[in-house]
Amino acid sequence: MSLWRRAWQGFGAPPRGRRVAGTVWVFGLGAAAGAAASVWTVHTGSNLDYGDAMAHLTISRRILDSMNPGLQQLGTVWLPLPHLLLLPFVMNLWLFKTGVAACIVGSLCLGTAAASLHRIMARIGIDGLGRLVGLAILLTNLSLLYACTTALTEPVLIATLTTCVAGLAGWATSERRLSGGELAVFAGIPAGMGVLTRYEAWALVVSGTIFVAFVCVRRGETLRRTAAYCASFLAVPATAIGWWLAYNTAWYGNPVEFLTGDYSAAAFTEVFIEQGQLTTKGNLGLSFQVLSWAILETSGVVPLLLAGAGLVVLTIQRGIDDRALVVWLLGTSTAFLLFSLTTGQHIMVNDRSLPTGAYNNRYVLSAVPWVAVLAAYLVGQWRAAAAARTVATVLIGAGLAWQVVWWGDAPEERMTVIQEGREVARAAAETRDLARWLGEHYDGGRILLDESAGNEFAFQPLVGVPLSDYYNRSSGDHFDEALADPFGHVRWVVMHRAQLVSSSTKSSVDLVTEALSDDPQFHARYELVHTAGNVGIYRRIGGDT
Amino acid sequence: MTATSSPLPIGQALLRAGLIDEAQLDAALTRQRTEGGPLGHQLLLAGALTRLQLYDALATAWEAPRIDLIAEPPDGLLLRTVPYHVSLRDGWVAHHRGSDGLVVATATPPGEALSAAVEEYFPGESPRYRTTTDWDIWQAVEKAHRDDLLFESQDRLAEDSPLHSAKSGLTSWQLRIPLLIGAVVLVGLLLSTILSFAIVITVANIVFLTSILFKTVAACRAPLRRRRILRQTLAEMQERVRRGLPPVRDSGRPESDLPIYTILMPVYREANIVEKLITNIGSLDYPKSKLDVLLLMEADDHETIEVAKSMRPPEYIRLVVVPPGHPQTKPRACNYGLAFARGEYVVIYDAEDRPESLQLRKSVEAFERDEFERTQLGATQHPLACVQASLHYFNADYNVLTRMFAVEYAHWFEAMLPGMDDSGIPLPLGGTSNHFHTDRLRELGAWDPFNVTEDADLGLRASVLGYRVTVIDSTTGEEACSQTAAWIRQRTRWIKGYMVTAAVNTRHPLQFARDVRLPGVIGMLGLIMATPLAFLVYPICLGFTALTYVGVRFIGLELPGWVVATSVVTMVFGNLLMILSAMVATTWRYNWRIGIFAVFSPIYWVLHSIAAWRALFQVIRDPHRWEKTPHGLTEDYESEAHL
Repeated sequence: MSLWRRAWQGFGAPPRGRRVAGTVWVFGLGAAAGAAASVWTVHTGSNLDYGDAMAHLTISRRILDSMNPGLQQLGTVWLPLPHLLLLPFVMNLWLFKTGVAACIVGSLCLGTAAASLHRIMARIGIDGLGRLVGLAILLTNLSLLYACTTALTEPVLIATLTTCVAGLAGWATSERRLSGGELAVFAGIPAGMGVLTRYEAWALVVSGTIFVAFVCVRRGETLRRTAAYCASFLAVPATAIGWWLAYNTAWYGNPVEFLTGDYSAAAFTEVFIEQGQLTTKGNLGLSFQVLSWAILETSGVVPLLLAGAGLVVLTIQRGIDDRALVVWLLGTSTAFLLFSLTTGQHIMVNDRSLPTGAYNNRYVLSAVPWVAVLAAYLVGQWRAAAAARTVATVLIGAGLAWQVVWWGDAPEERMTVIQEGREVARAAAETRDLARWLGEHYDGGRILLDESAGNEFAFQPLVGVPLSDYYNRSSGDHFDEALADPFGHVRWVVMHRAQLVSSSTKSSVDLVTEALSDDPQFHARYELVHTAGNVGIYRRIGGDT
Repeated sequence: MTATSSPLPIGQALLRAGLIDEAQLDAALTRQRTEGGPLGHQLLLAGALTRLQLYDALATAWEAPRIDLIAEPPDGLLLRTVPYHVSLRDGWVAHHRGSDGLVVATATPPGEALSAAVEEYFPGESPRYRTTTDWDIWQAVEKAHRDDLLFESQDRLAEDSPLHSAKSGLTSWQLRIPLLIGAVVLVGLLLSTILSFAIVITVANIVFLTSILFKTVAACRAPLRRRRILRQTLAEMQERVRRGLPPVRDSGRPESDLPIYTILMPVYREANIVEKLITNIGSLDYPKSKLDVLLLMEADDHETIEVAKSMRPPEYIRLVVVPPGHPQTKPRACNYGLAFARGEYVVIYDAEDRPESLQLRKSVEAFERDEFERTQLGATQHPLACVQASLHYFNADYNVLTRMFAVEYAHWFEAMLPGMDDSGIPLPLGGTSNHFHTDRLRELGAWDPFNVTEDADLGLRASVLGYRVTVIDSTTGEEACSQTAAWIRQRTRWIKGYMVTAAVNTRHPLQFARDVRLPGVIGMLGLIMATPLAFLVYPICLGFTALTYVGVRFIGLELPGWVVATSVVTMVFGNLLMILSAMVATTWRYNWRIGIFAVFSPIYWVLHSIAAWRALFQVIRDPHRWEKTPHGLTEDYESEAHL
């Protein structure tokens, strides 16, 4: 038997106990795909297109590299895990400046997601051909590949979601009844990591618990054992959520600061509500339409058609048995997005929204594994002659190839994830040039900057100066001291030359502008050395020694 | 049974009587040539005939009619005239004194040697001999000497060497220490909360760090030891080749001269695994005629006794029912079994153990090498009293708890013990697979039945009394406890045993230090004392550093900066050190899938802490309580991780 044939048989072999053959290889393949995509985006610089991506890099680095280092630098805008994962890498200034730190994390996440997907497919009985199609859908999704090269949180979310579902699938389909400890480790820990990554994972904790209870009841477990299994699954994510609430209490005096604070998503959407732009709120039909369009644009028409057919076949063949429920678990984040879109918890803008545009469509990347498994199920369950299956697989492969070519032909028009990034980069182009100018002309001294004064100020990676040289909001009392006496503290000041009248959030007022723009003493001691639109760089006159 | 000096007549007699056929005789003779031992024993082992048939034949050959000691029990007073170990060793008992003189029942051939032995205890008498079976002799001796045997197994150590026995528990000053510490902390908190917290946390961190450093340094020495042994072996081989000798030393002892090896297997309420036990022992690569296996069962364990009897175990396995007594512990059962041990060496295996097939041979080799080095090469090392084989789990990946247990054992047996051995630190023995030189074990006073970790205690006592313990390159498969509640009970016993062992050995601390010198003191402080203490203080370290200062600041306890910093560093780096060294050792022993679970060690130690606090409570209230570990919980589960 040839090596290839043996490898193929191993790849498609049913799981043996805990072992699912090919997991390590699939992980390597996924990580390699992420690395290859990273080479491209780093080369073009598009990996730093998203302002959020640079903000994540900055938050992560300032945990250790800041005037006021510590875990409080995690803030409450975003959940902390992605920053903690980036931490060891961003401490290298080159990895931070170039965004390669995020490429490393993203590629590992893609590898993890691919390996977990492979394990899920194996656990629910999908054969080698089906698994191949599922993995192909995941790894040829250009939007996902792009996201994995940036410091966005989607790669971590997808990796944790798929790993959690793989753990649940392993537990539910095991021939031997596995212990609650196994459930806690292989599903609970990924869920715990997920809840510290994105709120979609909080929904998975709920659906996962229901799934565990369902499986237990089907097995005829006693109520006590059912409760014990559910508690085992819940233990880690509940602890993680508890820690997050405690963290908010400890640093902000409010356990739900992340939900109601000035920097929260609610505060952010408030602006859109005031402007009448949150049209999905209270409108299930529009929400569904917007979300569906985002999924279509992000997943691609070919995978989506296959997934739709797969869903029909799955439901006919399996109803809601344990294996079917595993597949449904992967749809949790999509259901959560629909819920939060309808209830106005977040905003998503695309060609089907009112108004149109490109914003936050990347959230639906978490649906890609679901689409992939459904399509894989369709192929895996199709019982036909080997030749017919091979022909069908070739056709599917051709369809996926066409999809990739079609996307690649006009990425900014056909992939909203890319489109949004490019638009953000274009809008902030002047400020980013200004940041690069500062990096090139920086000759020591401290920098005063209000990093929260608008998205365009999330450019510290482009400056490439250690963050301990910044006085900004995250440096706490030091920031106030520098605002009160800039000459005694900083050589460089970066601020809006005039305060913006309308801000996107309540917290976006430029505190530096507010304190210094009308201060004649400041203008006497600092000269404006570079401008970009409304933003100026001021350098201290003298006092450099 | 030393049935014949010339086997042919017995064989011919049995053949003539039609009890065996030519093929059976030939096979037994062949085994006798390779393995040694009496022909009759070989025939019994092969199941060619029954014990009664054999001894009937011998009775005819010896012209001494057979007597059934159960039907006609010996005169107890007369029997007790001869010490039990003499009767068991020489295979005879004085049966009764009739009108025509003393009658001796013997399982060995009457002759000059036997007459001389009898003369020693019954001078001037001309005994008449009756043949009986070795089993009858054993039963009669056990019955007549039961009180002596119970005294030997329960109280001998406490009577002869009370300083080494845990019977009296903790001394009054030792008992007061925990109460005193508690009171001091309480008063301190009332007087100055911040200062008291700072002191408690500092002390807790010092204890924790001491334990971690000891374990890590010991673990780091293990690879050095391996390299040193490898170099030593290679140098020895080269030297042998240079002198024209075979590269590997041969003891020169033929297979047939291998010593008798006693295996003690204490079981209690483990009827479910008796069959496996017999199978596992049967797979040992050691001549069966040289095996002396004692299955030690408690008298109140009727189920196990019945199952063991119904199994009809092979000839080399003896079923010993340990009479009721106090304390009803494993070491007491082992002491009882030791009284009947015929082997030059003795080993303990737990019921579920699966020793590597060559383990007994490796043990013999280690003892012989020690003897050779001391007598022939003038080595100044202490005589070897015990060799410890390493343990691994055959159900390592059954669940999370078994994985954690495997991680812990891999670190212990593959890293720490070899490292400690290399440093000359006395080794606390594991509860199983420790092989003793039988006479030296008896000299040491055997196991302390009042110590719930009699193994660790014995290792230290060997060191105190001038003997040596080392490790051998052989492993035994064990079943890791897979249930949390049972695990906590087992660990409570172990930690309590460490506490008691520390207390027993430090009744006179200076005397102890003089006996064991610096390495022994380091072992006592860094391992025996620091291990339970570290687990006791672990919640304090974890609570006040990890939770209070890493991320969450609820209680507003503003401790001095240096306390906070050192606490966090100790906690984080201490845990990291242990995790890394355990991960490496486990991956080396099993695979990365088990090794990766070392990251959960900080959580696993919370279970240790629960056990440690239970142990502390029990040490004060009930130091001799033995919480039995159930076996067979994972049934037929077989992991591939250890392969």
